[in-house]
Amino acid sequence: MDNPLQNGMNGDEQHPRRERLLLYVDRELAPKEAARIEAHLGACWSCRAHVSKIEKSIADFMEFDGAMLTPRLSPPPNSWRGFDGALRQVVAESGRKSLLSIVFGSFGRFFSRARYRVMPRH
Amino acid sequence: MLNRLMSRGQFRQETLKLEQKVTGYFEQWREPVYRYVVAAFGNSAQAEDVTQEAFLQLYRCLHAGQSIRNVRAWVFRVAHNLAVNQIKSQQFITPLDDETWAEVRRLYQDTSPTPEQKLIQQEKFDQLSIGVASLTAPERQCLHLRTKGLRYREIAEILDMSTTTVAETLYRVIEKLAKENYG
Repeated sequence: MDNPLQNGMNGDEQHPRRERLLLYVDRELAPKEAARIEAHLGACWSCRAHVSKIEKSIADFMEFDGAMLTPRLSPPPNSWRGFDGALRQVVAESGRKSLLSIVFGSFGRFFSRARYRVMPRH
Repeated sequence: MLNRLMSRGQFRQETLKLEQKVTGYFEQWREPVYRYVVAAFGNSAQAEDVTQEAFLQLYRCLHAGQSIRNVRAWVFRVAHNLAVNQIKSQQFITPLDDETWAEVRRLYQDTSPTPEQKLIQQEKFDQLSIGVASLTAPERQCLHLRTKGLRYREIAEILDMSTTTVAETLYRVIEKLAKENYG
């Protein structure tokens, strides 16, 4: 019995690597490669069957997640009640610090306002 | 001096706006962040603290003038790192134990319409549960971040790995789930 996931196509350069098909399904490919795979899928039933298997795995997992995993996650025990108070405390603390920086001039503010990338490029 | 007083008034207004903004983010994303922490690290009261703390840190950073381009991914990343540190210090419990799975199966049996469907669904879910149970921690993390709608580049940033690694990891996840499903 053929298992489409095991039934490799790597020997044939015409077929995209199977990992690329997941990227294709997830719309993670550059437009050029996506277009190439799209064209290939038009011609190749084998790769299209593999794409279907990937989609089915995702659909099955999402069904499983929606029916079984997510409903069984216990809700937050304190129902988020602590947040508003905690935020007010942080606001007060941050305010005190900032007032100090106003009093002592813009030096500290200049540095605290230094922008830096939080999400570096890959 | 007047200048200073004005800037204080202005400052209060800015603070209030920022507080509202962070509260808005919190209400929008606390559930997915919480569900991620619970699903990836285990069911724990700590998940709520971790989630809240991530949003408090968001306030601190925005207040300090940091520019955060992708707030959602940023919050996930901070929550993830907080959870990682808590595991080290306190050991989260495993997400779903055998007993829970038995209950899950029983529950599903009760809701399926016909006996044939029951059998098929039960088998499918049994196999998926084996697949899910076989996932490593990074695999589980990638999977649950992906199901929360995060893109590979964001997952890479949150988990501190390359996008290539994210892609490979997610493919392994699909293989594991598919293997249990078709193998």
